[in-house]
Amino acid sequence: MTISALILMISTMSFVVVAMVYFFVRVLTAPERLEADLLDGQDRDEMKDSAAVEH
Amino acid sequence: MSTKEAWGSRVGLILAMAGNAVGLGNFLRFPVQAINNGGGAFIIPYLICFFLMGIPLLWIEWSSGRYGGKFGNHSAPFILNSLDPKRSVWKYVGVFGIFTNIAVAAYYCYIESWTMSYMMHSLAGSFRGMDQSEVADFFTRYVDISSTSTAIPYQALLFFICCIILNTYILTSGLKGVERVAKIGMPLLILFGVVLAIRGLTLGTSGASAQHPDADAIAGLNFLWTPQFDSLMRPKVWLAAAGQVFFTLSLGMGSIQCYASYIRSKDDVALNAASAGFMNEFVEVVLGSSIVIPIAAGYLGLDWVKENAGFGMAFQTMPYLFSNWGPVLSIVAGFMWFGLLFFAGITSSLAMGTPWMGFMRDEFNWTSKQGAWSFGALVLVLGLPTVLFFQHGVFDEYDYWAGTVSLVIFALVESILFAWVFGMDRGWYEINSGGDIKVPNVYRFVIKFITPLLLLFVFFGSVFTPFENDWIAAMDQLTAGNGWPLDNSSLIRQLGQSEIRQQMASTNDPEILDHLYKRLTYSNGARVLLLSLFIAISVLVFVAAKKRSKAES
Repeated sequence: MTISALILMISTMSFVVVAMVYFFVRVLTAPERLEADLLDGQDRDEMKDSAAVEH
Repeated sequence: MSTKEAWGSRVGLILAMAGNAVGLGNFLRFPVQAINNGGGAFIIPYLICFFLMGIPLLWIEWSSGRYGGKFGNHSAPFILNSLDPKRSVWKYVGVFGIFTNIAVAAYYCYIESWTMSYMMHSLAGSFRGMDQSEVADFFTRYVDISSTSTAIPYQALLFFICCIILNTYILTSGLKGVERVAKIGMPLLILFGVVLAIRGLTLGTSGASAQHPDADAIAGLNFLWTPQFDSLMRPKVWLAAAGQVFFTLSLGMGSIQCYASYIRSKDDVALNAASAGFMNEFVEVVLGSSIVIPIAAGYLGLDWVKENAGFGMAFQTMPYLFSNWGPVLSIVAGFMWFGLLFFAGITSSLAMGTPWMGFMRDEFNWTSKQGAWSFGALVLVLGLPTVLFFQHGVFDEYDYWAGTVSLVIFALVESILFAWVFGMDRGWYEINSGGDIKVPNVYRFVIKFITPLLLLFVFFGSVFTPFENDWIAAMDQLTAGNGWPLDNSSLIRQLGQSEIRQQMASTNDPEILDHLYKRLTYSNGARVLLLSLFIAISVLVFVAAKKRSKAES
């Protein structure tokens, strides 16, 4: 394998892996907000009503 | 889906979004595009397009979906309408966001059913002892309607129906079912992919044989990754790169907006979208480039790969290559390969069902079960012609109009709507609102100008594709006053079915003429079906809009 191909392959793959891991770790370490959101539909219904007025 | 439906966890949402994006194209289309467009040089425009078109469109779709969800809208017609409530035209543009999903699911479920079937055949050892041409014939017979006495490919039909029933059954559980499949399917897909990629990267010359003495997996990797900077000057390469980014991220389908409409108004979209996008890139760039091409080059040689690289390799070549790994490993490898394709497929096809279900629930109060089974019925009715008349080009017709043209049109219009009609100030606020990362300010400019321009480039590139995709030669011809030579793959020529008509004009063989005439007839039939579906959804949107106005007044 040529050096240029090796450099391109390793640098591209490393970049993609590092970016994926970085963003996923950020997701895992961010405050969890969705799990406490099971009553969200009620909020959304209220917003739907207000949107109907706005529209 | 109930009114109170929401994602169970953030990880589940991201895996479902990534599963929506990760599809068969990650493993089959990407390496072939790279091979056909200059090897390593392809990756540079590909990454540029990912940052200038892919990521911005992900942010647009995630944030417009969440915005529409604030008003209780879970499908593209009314999500787009919520961005500009004064103009009703957006609702009808949004029809693409339901139409595309149903039409693509109709043929996508068929491919998915092949992966199901091939998983079973791998486990049963059906490919044992077959040479390469026998494995290729196996596939041809599998999809060939004329190979059975009743003109019905029973096995293909059976697996297709099973696949639809499985998808429909999962969808009846709403987002919970989708999330559960994503949480199981995505890690397994990555695990299977990593195992096969390690094999592809370490195969070396061990697969060389008397028949293929030059076979070398490293040569395949070398070709895939050697930079050829001269190809950067070819518009064809840029167009292919932009197209690949576009299709791999499932942009312009309406399914991302639908998924995003179920997240809370204060939840993050910036980080979630980036995370799902890069997960897709990992599967595509790292795993996708390390399996098919190196393994095929490792057993059949680079020349064979260059000549035969294509979608069919997954089914017509890979089982034969795995058979070189011994009786047990060939079963394991075949199961893993078709298993990962199956998980890539099902996580995408489930996403295609949710816009229809969301629309019918929002507008006609249908339950999850009603929505899911009606989606299954639609897919079955539309998909049957792709199974029964596969050889007559129905599949290709669906793929072109629903899986290619509609996506580009929808994405182009939604990017203009978001950046120019909804406005960048509000759009920027929506993207960053609740964000766990701050989107770099440069993206304000990119989303407003660069992304729509790139989409215009892709759109006009497909409308006016020059002869043999040679843009430089076409420009020379144009400046010489000889007009723009169109290729048969251009939208204009496709519309007139020029390729089939040219073939008909150039032959007198009655058998070939009969085949071409059938192809023309079935292609037109497929177009009528697609158009009928589009009109039917438009009528439903019209009725829904009337219902809404009545309720409001």
